Amino acid sequence: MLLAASRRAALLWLLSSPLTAQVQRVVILKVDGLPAAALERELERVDPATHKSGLPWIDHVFRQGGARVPNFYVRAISLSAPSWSLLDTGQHLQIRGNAEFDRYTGRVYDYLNFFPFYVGYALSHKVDMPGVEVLDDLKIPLLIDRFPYTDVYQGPQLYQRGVRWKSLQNGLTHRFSHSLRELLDEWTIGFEIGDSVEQQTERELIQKLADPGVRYLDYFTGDYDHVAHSSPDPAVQRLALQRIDALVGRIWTAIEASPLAAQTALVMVSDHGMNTQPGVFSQGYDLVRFFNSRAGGGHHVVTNRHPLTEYKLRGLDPFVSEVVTPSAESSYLKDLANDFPTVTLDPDGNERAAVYLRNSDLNQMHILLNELDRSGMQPALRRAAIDALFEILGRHRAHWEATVQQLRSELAALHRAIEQQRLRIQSQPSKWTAAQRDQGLDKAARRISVQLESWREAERSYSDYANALARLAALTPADFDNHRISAETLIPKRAMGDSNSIHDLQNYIAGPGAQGLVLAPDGSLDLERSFERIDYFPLLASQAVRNNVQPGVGSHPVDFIALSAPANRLPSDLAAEDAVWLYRDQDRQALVLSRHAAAGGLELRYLPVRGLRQDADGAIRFDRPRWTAGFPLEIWEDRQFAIPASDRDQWLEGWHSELDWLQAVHRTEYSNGIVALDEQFSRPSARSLLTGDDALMEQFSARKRRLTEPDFLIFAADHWNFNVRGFNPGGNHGSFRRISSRSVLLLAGGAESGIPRGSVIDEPYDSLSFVPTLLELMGKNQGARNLPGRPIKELLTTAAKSTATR
Amino acid sequence: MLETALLSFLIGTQVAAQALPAYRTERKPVGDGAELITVFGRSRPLEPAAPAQEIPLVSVLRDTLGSSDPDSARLRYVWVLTSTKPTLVQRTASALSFVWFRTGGKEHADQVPAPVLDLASPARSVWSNLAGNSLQALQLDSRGAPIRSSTRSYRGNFNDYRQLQVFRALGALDALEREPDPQTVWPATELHNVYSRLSLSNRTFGGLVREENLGRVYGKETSRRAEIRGHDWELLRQRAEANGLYFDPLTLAGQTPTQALLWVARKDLNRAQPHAFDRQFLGIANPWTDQRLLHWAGYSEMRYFDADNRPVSAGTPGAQALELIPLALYSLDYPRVPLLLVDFRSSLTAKKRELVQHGANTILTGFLGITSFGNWSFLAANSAWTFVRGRQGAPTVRSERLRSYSEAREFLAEYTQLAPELQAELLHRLDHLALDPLENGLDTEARVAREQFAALMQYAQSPDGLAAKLESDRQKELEAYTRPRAIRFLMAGARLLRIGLPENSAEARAVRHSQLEARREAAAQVRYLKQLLASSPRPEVVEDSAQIRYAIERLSADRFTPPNASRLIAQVFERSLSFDVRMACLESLRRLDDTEARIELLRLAEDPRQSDFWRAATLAPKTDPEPAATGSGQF
Repeated sequence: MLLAASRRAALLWLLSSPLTAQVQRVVILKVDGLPAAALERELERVDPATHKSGLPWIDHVFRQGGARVPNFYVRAISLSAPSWSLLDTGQHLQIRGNAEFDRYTGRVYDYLNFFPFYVGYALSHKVDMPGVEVLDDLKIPLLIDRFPYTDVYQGPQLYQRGVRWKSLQNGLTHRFSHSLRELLDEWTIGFEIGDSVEQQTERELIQKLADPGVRYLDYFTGDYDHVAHSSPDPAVQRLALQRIDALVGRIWTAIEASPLAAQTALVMVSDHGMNTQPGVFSQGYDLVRFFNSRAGGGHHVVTNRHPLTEYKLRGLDPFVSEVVTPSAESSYLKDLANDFPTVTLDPDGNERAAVYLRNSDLNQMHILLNELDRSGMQPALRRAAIDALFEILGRHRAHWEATVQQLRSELAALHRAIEQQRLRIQSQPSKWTAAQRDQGLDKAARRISVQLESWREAERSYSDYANALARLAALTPADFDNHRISAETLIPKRAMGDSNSIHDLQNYIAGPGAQGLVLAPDGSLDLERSFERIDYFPLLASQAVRNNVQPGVGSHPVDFIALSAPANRLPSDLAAEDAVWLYRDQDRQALVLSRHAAAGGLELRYLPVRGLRQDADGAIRFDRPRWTAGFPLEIWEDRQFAIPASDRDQWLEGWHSELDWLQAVHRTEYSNGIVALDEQFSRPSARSLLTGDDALMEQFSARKRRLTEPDFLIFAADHWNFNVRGFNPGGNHGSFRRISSRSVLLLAGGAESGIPRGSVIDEPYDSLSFVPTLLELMGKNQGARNLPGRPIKELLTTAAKSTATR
Repeated sequence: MLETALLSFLIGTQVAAQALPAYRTERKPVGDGAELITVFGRSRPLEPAAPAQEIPLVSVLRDTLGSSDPDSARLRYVWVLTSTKPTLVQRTASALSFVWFRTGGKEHADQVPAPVLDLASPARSVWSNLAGNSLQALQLDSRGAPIRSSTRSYRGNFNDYRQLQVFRALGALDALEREPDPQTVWPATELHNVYSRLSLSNRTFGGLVREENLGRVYGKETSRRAEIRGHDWELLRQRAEANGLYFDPLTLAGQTPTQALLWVARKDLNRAQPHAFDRQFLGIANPWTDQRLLHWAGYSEMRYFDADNRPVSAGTPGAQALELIPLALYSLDYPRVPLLLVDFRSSLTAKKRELVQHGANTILTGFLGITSFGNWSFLAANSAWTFVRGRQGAPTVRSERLRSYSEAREFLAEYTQLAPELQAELLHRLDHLALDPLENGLDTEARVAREQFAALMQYAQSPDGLAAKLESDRQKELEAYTRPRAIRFLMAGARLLRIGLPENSAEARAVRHSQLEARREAAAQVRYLKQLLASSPRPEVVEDSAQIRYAIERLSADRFTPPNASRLIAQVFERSLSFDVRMACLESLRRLDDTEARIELLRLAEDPRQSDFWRAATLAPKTDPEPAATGSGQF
C-alpha cells in the first residue's frame, strides 16, 4: 500500500511539474548562524595576494553569477530550531525555541540534541529528529516532503528524516583510508571525526548530482556558528568562512559537470545572524543562579543541559535533556527539587531566555497545604488558611474542570487513534526488501510505530496531570476535618501548571512571608503579609553587574522582557486580536498589537505605554506617554527608520500592514522585531473543518503546542547572553537585533534556471518567503500559493523574462 | 603609592591605544646572500626612571641567495635568544630529582646560541627525541632508581627548559602577528610557517608534518588560542562576579587579554554578611573570611567607578572611589580554565600545585620506576585520574602550564600599564613558580639575549662562521635535489673525513647559488600549483590568472624542471576554464617537450571531455591559435 502511495506521489509530482519550469533541481547549502554582515565584510575584502575577494567562490558564483537578497530576515527569534522550521516548511511558527517544555507534563522537546536521535534510530525507536516529529504531528510538511522520497538527498541537520548509517560508515572508512603519512599528519594536527561526516555528506551530495532523478539536495553546516560563538576574532571567523567558500566551489563545480547543470539552482541560506563584534567578548549572565537566589525567588530550576556542563562528569551524558539545579535558598520546597521545580528555563540561543514559572496560585496552594499539614496550628489561622485555599480553588475550579473534561475527550480520541495505529502496524510487513527500503517504505512504517509510542506516552502523562487536576478540583473543606492532606500528594509533580497572567507575574508568590501565615484583623488570612511576592519585571530589568570592563557593553544584562498580553482586556479603542507587552522599565514599555484586515492581511501597531499593570480581575491599566527615545525596539529614534522624522509620530499612531512595517524598520537596530514578535507570540488561528476524532486530535496537537509557551522571554542587552551550559564569548543570537536576525540568502543557477546574474534585490524579505520562492522557481506555483509567505518577486520576474527572451 | 597606582591605572585604560608597539622585527643582511630577521620585544625596566629597553627574542635565518624574489628564499635556523647553554651547576642540579628551584649561575653568555630548530630539516628532532625516549625506557630505567631518577630528571628539566623557550618565542610571534600596526619586514606566510614549526616542535611527531599542512596548523593553533582566551576571560569574569570580586583583564594595546587580575574592595570586606564564595576555578582561599585581608598592609590601589560600574578617572563627577586589594593573577591562555599564577596572600598556592604534580611524577617514575610504558594498568589509572581531574577544571597539562607561565613572564616584562610596584611584585611572585634549575631570571635572560644576539651577529658576519655553515647547507640542499638519499648519506660520511668537501671559490659558489635559485624557484612554483589545485576545483576563481600563468610559464622555463611538473600543468589545464590559463598550460607543455609533457598532451588530445577546439589546440604546433570566443577571458 505504501509502495503504491509513493508511486502515486511521484506521478503527481511529475504531472504537477509544468513544462515551462525552469529550475528542475535545487541544491541548498544551509549554513547555520551565518550573519549577512560577516559574509559581506569578507566578500568586500580584497586579498592582497590574489587581488580577489576574500571569499572568491561565493563572489564568483553568487555575487557575479547569481542573485543576492541582502535584506533577508528571520521572522521570529533568531534561533536555529525556530528559524530552520520556518525555512524548511514555509509555514508560520510552531516551534518557538531550541528547547521547549510542556507545562503540564514536564516533557522536554530538545530540538538540538542529535545523540538521542541517532541512538534511538539505531534501536528502531526513532526515525526523525524531534522537530520533524512535532511538525508531523501538526501535519506541516517539510520542503523535502514535496518531493518523492527517491528524488531527495538530505544531509544531517535539525529537521532530518532518517539516518543513513552507510554515510557514517563510509565517512569513517574514508577517514582512515589515507596514506600513513597523511594519517600521521592528521593525528599530529588533530583528528576531527565530525569532519568525516561532513566530508562524506559532501561526497555523497556530489555523487548524487550525477543522478538526474535527484531533484532536491541539501547540505547543512554548523561550522561558522560554532566558531563565532567561541571567538569574536575576525581572523578565526574568516577561516570558517573560507571553508564554506571552498565548499561552494566544490559543489558548484560538481553542479556544472552534472546532467541538469543548466536547470539547477544553488541556494545558500542561513537561519539567523550572530551578534559578534571584533574585540568585544559577549558576557554571560547566569539566570539559573538568579532564580536560585533568594532575591530571585529561591526556585529549583530545570534546564535541558547541566550548567557548566563541560566541567561535570555528568555532563558527558549525551542523552540528558532535563536537569534540575536545586536552590539552597528555597523557602518552602527544600529537598524537593526533583519533585517540585518551580522554574523551567530555556536559555539556549543565548540572546534570549524563555522562562516558565510554576503557576503562582499553585505555589500559594502548595504553601497553604504545607502549613495546614503542620501540627500545632492555631484553629483560627487554620480556618483562615483553609478559606484562603478554597478561595483559590474557587477561582480556578471551573477552568480546571473544563480543562479536565476537554483533555479527557481528547485523550479518549487519542486512545482510539492508538488502537487504530496498533492495527495498522500489525498489518505492516516485518521485513522489507531492498526495493522497498529504497522507496523509504521501511522508514514510513517505522514512523507510524514511533508515533504510536509517542501517543502512548502522551496519553499516560496527560492523564496523570488531568487526574491530579481533577483531585484538586474535587477537594472540599470537609477533607481537612478528618485527615491530613499532604501537598506532595495533591500538587502535580514536575508540572508548571497553567500559564501565569501578567498580574501573577507582577505579584508572584515565591514563598511564605517572613512571619509565616498571618491573620488579618477581620480573621481572614492576610494575603499580603502571609506570602513573599515578587514583581519579576522590575526585578529582572534592574539586574546589574559590578564588573563592567568593556567599553560599549553596559552593566545591565537585560534589554527587555516580552510576553503575551490578553488583547480582550485592552481598552476597546485598540481593538487588537493579539498583543505582546514589552517591558524595559517602569516608564519605557510598549504593546505590539496585531489584527487581521478585512482582506486577511496582518496589521500591526506599536503603542508606547508606561506603568502597565493587570488587576486581579484581569483588567489592564497603563498610561500612554508621548513618544520619546528609549522604548523597547527603539524605533522612533532610530536614524534608519524609513519614515521621515517629522512624520514619525503620526505614522506610529496608526495600524500598518506587516509589509509596511518591514519596509519601514528593517534597517533599524532591531530590524523586523515588531513583525518577529508577532510571529513569536501569536497563535495560528484555528479554521479547521475537521470533525469527530480528527478535530479532537487536532485540538490536542494545538494544546500540546500551547502548553510549551513560556510565561515570558527575556532579551539580553547588546553583547550579553544567558548561556549557562558553557561560555559563548565570541557572539550570540536569539534577539531581534539586525545583526542577529539578518541572515543570508544567495541564489545562482544554470543558464536555463532563469535566476538573474549579478543581481542585488534590496527589497526586504523574511524566512517565510524562502519555500514559496523555491517552489515558484521550480514551477510549483500551486504549492507556493498555499503558503503564507511572499515569494521573492524580483527573482521570479527576472526568471520569467529570461524564459520569454530565450 | 596610591597616586602612582592611579596614574598607572589611568594610563592603562586611557592611553593604551597610543602606546608604542611592544614588538617589532628587524632585518639584517648576513653572510653571502642571506638575512637575519630578529623579533624585538620592548621590555619595561623595573626602575621607573629607566627608559624602556628592547630585547632581541627570536632570530630566524632567511637564506635568500641574494635575490629579492621570495620564491628563492628559504628559512633555515631559528634561535631563541633568551635560551642559553646551562652552567655546570645548573646541569648538575637538573640531574638531582629534588632540586625544584632555580640554581642561577648564568650571568653572561657571549657564545653563539644553538638554534632551537632547523626549518630545513624539522624531522631531525623527532628521531633524536624518539631515540632518547627509547634509550631511557629500554636501557636507563632498568639500571636502578639512582640512574633512572637522575636521567629522567635531567632529561625532563632540559625538555621543560626547551619548551619554555619555544613558548616564549611563540608568544613573541603571536603578539607580533597581532600588533595593530605591525612594523614587520617579514612575509606573513613565512612568519606563520615558523610559528607552526615551533608549535609542532613540542609534539612527538610534529617534525614530520608536511609543509603543505603548515597553513592548517597555524589556522588551528591560532583559532584554538583565540577560543581559549575568550573562554577563560569570560569564565573568570563570571566567577569574579559571582564571588563579589573585581575582574581586571590585562591587554597589550589592541590585542586580546592574556592575563587578568582579581581584586577585592576593602570596603566589601567589612560587610556584616560575608559574600558567598565558590573556590572552584579560582583556586584561592575565601577572601570574605580571611582575617589577613582585614588588616591588609600589602599593595592596594584606589580606583574610581561611575554609576554604571565603569572604571573612570578620579576627577569624574559622581565617581565612586574604591580601594582594591589584589588577590591573584591568572593566565587566560590555559585551556578550559584560567590558570592561577600568583596568589597575593600565599606564595605557595600555585607553587604547591606544581610541586605536588612534579613530586608525584618523580616518585612514581623516577624512584619507583612505574611508567606508562608497557604498564597498562598504570596507564589506565593515570589516564582516568587525569581525565576526571581535568574534567573538573584542574590544570593537569604540564606543557600548557609551562606555556601559560612563559607567556605571563613575557607579558609582564612587556606590559607598561601596571604600577611599577605591582609589576615588580608580580614578577617576583611569578619567578617563585620556577621549578627548573636550568631556568634563568628575567634580568639574566634579557642580558643573555642581548649578548647572544651580539655574538650571533658577529658569527653571522664572519666568513668562517655562519656564511660557511650556510654554504655547506646549500651544498647539501643542492644534493638533495640531484642525488639519491643513499649517495647523500655516503657523501655526508665522506665529508666528516674531510673528503669531497665542496669547492668554495667565488666562482663555484656563484654557480651553486644560481643552480639552487633555479631549483628553489621551480620547487616554489610546484608548491604553489599543488596548493592551488588542492584549494579549488577551478584555479582562476581563487587566484589571479596572471599569477597562475606566471607560475606555469616559469616552471616550463626553468632549467631544472621538477618531476611531475607536466602532470601538474596538465591538471591546471583540466581544471581551468580560463582561455589564457589553458593556453599558457599548452604552451608550457610544448615548451617542456619531454616525454612526460608529450604524454600529457596526448592524453589531453584524446580526452572526450575536452571540446574539439581544445583537442585541436593541444595537438597544434607552437603557434598561438586564434580562439573561437575569448570575450570574457573565460572559456
